[in-house]
Amino acid sequence: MYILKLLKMKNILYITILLLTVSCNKILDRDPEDFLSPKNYYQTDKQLQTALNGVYSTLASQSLYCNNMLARMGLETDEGFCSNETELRGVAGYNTSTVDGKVKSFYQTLYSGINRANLLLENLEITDSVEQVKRVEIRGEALFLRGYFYFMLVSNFGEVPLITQSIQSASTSELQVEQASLKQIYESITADMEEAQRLLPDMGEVKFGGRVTKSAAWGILGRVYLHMAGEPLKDISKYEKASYWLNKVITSGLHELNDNYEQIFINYAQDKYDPKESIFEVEFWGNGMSTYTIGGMVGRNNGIRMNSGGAPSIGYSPGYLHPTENFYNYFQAENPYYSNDQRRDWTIAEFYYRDNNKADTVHFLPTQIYERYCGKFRRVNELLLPKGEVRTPQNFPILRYADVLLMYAEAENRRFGPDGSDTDIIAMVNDVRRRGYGKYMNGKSSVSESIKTITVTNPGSGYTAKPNVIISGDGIRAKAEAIISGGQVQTIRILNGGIKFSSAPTITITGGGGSGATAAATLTARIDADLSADDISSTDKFHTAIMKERSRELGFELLRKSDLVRWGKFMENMDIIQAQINVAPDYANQKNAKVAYNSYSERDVRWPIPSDEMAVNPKLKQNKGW
Amino acid sequence: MYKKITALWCGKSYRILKPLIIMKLSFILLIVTFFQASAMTFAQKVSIQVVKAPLKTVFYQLSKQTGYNFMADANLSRKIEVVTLDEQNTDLKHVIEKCFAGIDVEVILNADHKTALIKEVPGTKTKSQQTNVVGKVQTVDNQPMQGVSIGLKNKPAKAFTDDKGHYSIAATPSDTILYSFIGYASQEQAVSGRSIINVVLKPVEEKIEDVVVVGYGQTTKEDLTGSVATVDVGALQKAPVGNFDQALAGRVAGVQVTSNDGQPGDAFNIVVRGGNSLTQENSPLYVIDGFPVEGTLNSIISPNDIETISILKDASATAIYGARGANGVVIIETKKAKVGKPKIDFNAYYGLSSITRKLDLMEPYEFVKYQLELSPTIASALYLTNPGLTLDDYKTIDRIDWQDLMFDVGNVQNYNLSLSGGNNDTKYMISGNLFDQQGIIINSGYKKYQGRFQLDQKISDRLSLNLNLNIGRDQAYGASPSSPRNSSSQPYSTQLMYQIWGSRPVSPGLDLMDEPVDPDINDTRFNPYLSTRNETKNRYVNTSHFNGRLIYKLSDHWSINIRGGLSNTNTLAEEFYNSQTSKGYAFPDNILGVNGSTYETKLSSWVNENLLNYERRYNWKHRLNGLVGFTMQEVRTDRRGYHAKNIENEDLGLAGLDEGEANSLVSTPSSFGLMSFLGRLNYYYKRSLMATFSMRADGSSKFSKNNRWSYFPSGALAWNMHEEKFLKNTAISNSKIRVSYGLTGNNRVGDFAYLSSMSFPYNSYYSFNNAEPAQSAMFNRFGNEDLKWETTRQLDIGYDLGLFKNKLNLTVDLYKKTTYDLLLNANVPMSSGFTTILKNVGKVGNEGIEVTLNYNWNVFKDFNWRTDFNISFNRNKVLELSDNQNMMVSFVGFPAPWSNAQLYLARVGHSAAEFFGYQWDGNYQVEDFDVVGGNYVLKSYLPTNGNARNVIQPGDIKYVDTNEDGIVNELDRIVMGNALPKHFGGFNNTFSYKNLSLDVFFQWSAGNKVYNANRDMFEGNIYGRPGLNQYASYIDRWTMDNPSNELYRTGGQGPTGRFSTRTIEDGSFLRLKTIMLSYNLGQIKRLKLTNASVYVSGQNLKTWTNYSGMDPEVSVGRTILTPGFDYSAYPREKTFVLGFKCTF
Repeated sequence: MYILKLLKMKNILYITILLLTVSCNKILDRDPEDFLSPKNYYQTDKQLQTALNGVYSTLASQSLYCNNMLARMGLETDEGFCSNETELRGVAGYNTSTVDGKVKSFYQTLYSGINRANLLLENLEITDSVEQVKRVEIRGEALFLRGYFYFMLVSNFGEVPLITQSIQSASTSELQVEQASLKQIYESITADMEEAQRLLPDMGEVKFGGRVTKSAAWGILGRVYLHMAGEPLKDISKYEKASYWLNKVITSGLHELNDNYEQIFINYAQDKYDPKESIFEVEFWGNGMSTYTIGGMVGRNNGIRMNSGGAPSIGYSPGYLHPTENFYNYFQAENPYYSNDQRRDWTIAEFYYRDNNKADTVHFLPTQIYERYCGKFRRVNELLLPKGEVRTPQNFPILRYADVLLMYAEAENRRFGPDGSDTDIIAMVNDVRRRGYGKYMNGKSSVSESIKTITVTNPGSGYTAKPNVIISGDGIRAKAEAIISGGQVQTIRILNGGIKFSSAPTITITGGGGSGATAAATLTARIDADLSADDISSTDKFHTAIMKERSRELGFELLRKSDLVRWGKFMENMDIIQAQINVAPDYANQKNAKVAYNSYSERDVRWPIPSDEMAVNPKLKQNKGW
Repeated sequence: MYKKITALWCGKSYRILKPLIIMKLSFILLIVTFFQASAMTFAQKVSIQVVKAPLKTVFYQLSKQTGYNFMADANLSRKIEVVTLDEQNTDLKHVIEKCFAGIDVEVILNADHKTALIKEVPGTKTKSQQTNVVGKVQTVDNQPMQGVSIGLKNKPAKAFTDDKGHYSIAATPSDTILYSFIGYASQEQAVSGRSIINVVLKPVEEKIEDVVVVGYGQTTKEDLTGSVATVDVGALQKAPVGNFDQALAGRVAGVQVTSNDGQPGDAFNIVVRGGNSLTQENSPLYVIDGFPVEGTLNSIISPNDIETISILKDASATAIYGARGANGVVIIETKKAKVGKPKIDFNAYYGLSSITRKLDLMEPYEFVKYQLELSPTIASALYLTNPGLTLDDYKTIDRIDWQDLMFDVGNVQNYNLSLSGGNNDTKYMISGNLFDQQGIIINSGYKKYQGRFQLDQKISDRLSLNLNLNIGRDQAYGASPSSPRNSSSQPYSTQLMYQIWGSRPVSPGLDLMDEPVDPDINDTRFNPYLSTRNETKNRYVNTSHFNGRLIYKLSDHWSINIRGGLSNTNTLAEEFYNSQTSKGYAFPDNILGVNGSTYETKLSSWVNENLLNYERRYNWKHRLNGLVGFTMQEVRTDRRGYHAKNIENEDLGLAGLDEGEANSLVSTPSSFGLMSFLGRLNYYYKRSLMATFSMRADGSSKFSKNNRWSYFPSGALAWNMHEEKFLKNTAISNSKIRVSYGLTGNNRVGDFAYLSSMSFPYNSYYSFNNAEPAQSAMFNRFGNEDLKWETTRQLDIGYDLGLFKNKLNLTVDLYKKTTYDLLLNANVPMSSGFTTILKNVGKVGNEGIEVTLNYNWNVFKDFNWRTDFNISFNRNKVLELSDNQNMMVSFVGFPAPWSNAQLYLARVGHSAAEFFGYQWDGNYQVEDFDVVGGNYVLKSYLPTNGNARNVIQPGDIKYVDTNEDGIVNELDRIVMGNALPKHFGGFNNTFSYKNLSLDVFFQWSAGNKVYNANRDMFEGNIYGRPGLNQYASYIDRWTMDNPSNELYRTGGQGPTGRFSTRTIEDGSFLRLKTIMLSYNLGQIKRLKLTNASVYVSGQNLKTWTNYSGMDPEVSVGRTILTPGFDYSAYPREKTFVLGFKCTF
């Protein structure tokens, strides 16, 4: 009966009121238990670092250096092309459109990185529990990265919205931002980076290229200013600024060229740092098989083809990236079989794996140029086992010291000509070249050489078959073959000039049924690697030499397209490739290359602003031609 | 007429009974009391020995023995002075009759109340003029009816039928006998000299249907002002399906029920009057026995347990559910126990199911012929040179029929058992259901176990209690063809149907059956047979659902209704893929290796509702009822689990997950709370005019403090014209016009969607200096503090017409809904750092007509035909999108480069789901080319298909260059069709002849398009994959000798990644959905069955369609923006069952 009493109207009212007041707040006021809100973040050391990691990880996104930029977005322009048919329907084949997914995700990823940087920069000071030193460094890194992201945007899209504050509301006025002028964007980039370089630690302290240092900021500032000096802004006063910042790297005493060109890339494959040469690089980690799927596709997308399930010691690569004939021919060569410029057969692999399955290699014929693969990032050198088929641990360079030297030479040449600079810019370029020719393989002081010539001193007689040519000396890798005619050794063709010779090797000719043939070898000298007198005879000629040198030295390092654009050479160079490719024989890859090199046009100097972005921001203006 | 009743003896419960005793019982009450007593005819035995004892003494003794209270007419008791009895173990009734020897008395025992009412049968004095009329009362299906009240017109005589339906009543030849029973049409029979009168009573169906369950209450059809559809549950239960939603399609006008594919155990999509929301959930709110549930009900409820389903459609009906009412409300009431002796119902069926349609694939000869065209060098070595065969040899070679291997005859069995009974005070029902369905793809199926207990207890005549407990468990298992392996570089080839259709029919020198991976091909297709037999995929849902309700009558007009409920749903999803499965095999791109996962989602919710009801008739003109109340609900979800990869020891199966590497760890607790005030007022003027007003205020934790509360009013008016004089005595038995208008809301957003959130996904970690990767903070959501409800305003005009005593009924509803402040996951400029932000922007309109018609026709004696027909037209229109956006594109999950092709378009001014793509234009023919140097060169004035001009050959696919710029590219895309139907509906016929009845139900959908992506893959091989078998239709492809304009040549697919009108198909269909033939065996005394019937029933028996795929009702990866996509769907099954139903 008590219950019935309780249920009397009056009591119900009381109970109701009680329940309501107690439960109202309890039911409706809730805090999330599962996720963190940016509002209460940025409080501790670790949180600030984690927020910064988020800014860095932008670079390692699939849309950028991890995957898409590697061979899939046509950034190699006149250096090479992608053989994947699907990619050729898109941006890699200059068939991009305003709805291209890769272009869109490139754009989107950079802006989400910018947003992370903006939020971090805005919230950096909300706590004083973190040491000032730490905060200063984080600010420097975030500022630099924001600048670099804008640099990537501006060099690929031109004018884009410039957003340096995170959004506070979802209102239309805040979301729809019009494009800033190129000048405004570049000025924002340089402002960010110039402030950053003040705050950043120097390389001597950091000791690896994965973190932004003063050197990285200086070097990239040089690159940014060179872009400002070039197309389309053409503010030539900026060469001076470029020189200024690049010179800081050179005079810092912290950097020098690695003596061995190949070693630079073997280091990337093996997760070794070379802070002297490699100033800033994107860090990739693991083989994609662990919890953290943060490996990249360096060496996979742009490697030497190895079929899926093929030799595990080599590692899978679809071998998407192939050179153009023009790029191949940039490397000076005595004959079709070899070039004393060691960079050629490293950058453009002159062999392939048998059946695309087995580890033993087969050499390409001299005519098979378009068939060759990008060989710069070789998975065979990776140490991490097993080799993942999707992800690799190889880091990717953003700034190397060789680039700094070439950029500096370019800027100074533009200002003063080949000889007018206070510094010996010709020597700088030659230094890069000599390293490329293997001159410093034993260290700069003890110069190593390769075979320059082999001259038949006695043709001998009675040769019915090709005799063996034995090269004995302190060098390695040298290889030559004899060509006989009428029982005599007519010539000796150098197949590989070798490296690390300190004196001319002895040539012995044996077998082949004959006897008496002798030959003598001479070695190359530094002068053979150096620029020719003609190359340095004028500002323009030196500039032309530098343009080619950048390709030889930095080929397939994703710098080519923006270089061509800033030099105003995009159409000119692409036309050269087109002419070559259309008369080249019909190999499978080259058929694909024809699609790419017949599809570009003037508008391709910029990617289109993604149509999805245009649809939601009516203030945007589409790039010319799109 | 009225008799004074006196108590002969009362036991302890006198106090409770007092009101009864002192009340002047009306005749009606007597009938009721009697009926209840006789329903419980436990023969009460007594032994008594008295000599000349006063009546009071005798009844004292009887009371002591039986606990009964005895009541008799005061006059009657005075007639008896003393009694002498000597009875041993005699029927109480008999003893009482003996006490009144010489007087014709009627004894009414009420076992529930332990009362015995003794009454003199009037007219004994005129016995001589009367004859005794006897007879039997039966139902239409020959069931004896017990407790039927037998009376005489204008005379007080009264009798009741016994448990065999027999009755006996004294009547004069000029009398008219009245037969009445609650729920049945009363009958009159003139005696006219007959002494045996047998009667069949027919149930008053209208009466039962009359009650309509609405939000927080019920009303009658007559009094209804809103648009509420009542589902014919009886018809629904005839379908041999495990869950009610599977049988709902086509049953109700305005309610579109579709399934994504034939996957056993998958919930169906229910959309009421068109989708309102573009990016948020559009499913209705379910209210099961008063408990609101967002999500599926399948494991909670068995179709057999459903008493009624009401679907609230217009704002007047739904606004009482406020912020959750905009998508319509489906109210399900489970079966309630009824007064009666314990009754056992049993229903069982068993049947077989098979695939509705297989697709013809290429036979070995055609397959090899195609391979030779596709890759001549490889294929001729593989199929001709190496095995030493000729092409013609393949005409006789045996093939592997993968479809036969994979599609099995499934079976389905179902058992329902229930026990129910009770008296006026206590009623109970216990039921159990077991459903087991083996799917038509081997190793897949659905099982369900479900139990229910229900108790109604009257605590006092003011207070009653209702308890409801549901416990269920269901398990769906086996392959789901529509889900790909997500770590694949070729996800499409990891889908099951790709593997079934695509695997080679012949493989010379190789037994493909034993090979996990076909060694002669180069994609990630896996032996489907092996995979399906090896993979583990289970989804278990355990549900417990408890619901209690107290009703307290404060006075004649006021009552309080307090309800509390608890619900727990645990979903456990387990998967394990060993190395012999498509998803665990060591494919080079399978970075997960042998992998498995277990995720558990716990959803727990409590609800409390407190309602105060008022009901009053003021005089014959005015009637009023209404309610006010407040409710609270809290829902907690907690999802936990992990996915493990590279599991070393695969023999352990799921138990070995802990030996793998953690791939994704999930722990996401969340919750929301809702608090609401609601009120409703119904006013009736006479019987003809009525008005309803309702209001609800909802406060929800899902929104920020400023936007927390929202208000949803509605109003409706209705006019029962047939009550007016001008329609009286016409053929029009019902004519009602209804108008309603109101606001409802939708709150289907994440629990904390208004807050910004950060995440730290593994794939965004960053490693510095080769150190262990460190967390990176990502901002996955911008918190929009301005977020609030989405609101829908709806106008509904309805008209109900009934003709010929409601034999023919017609209901027509016109509605116009506008949803504004759309909760839209709006595309925003990416420069903000976000791609989408949840905002209240945009507007969507839905308008339509719904027509329901039924006709009940007694064709001739014993032959009845009832037909139900409904049709719905809905036009969905996007009225506004996010800031100045005039279209929104959507993707459907499909491999690159298609994944970037925006197949769906939502344009302002058009339907929310239009297909977008290229206009297919047949094939290039020889005459389109010039011959230059022996090569075909496309004529320069003809547009290319997007491929380079120099590679286009005769027989290649051709598209329309809509902008005439000479090249077909993304600028040439057009709207290819609407994925939403123009109309849909159902058509049900019930024929009954004596004991035989036949139900035939058709369902259709018309005017919607389906994108058949299977054809891109298997009718042209868009990727040019070697060794991929094709549909037999592709035999007729373009060749020089067969310049088809339909199917392009081998390798003529043009640029990949294009959706075109070539594979857009009309998805209209008419389906013979359910058929049931049943025979009623009636009572089987030998087996003590009061009723039994046998039946055969079939589901999905025949489909008429022009769609070329397996089934036109398909929507893989469905959202409101992306319906009607067909790729690797689970095939649909047809089922035939044989069943038996009986009652003890």
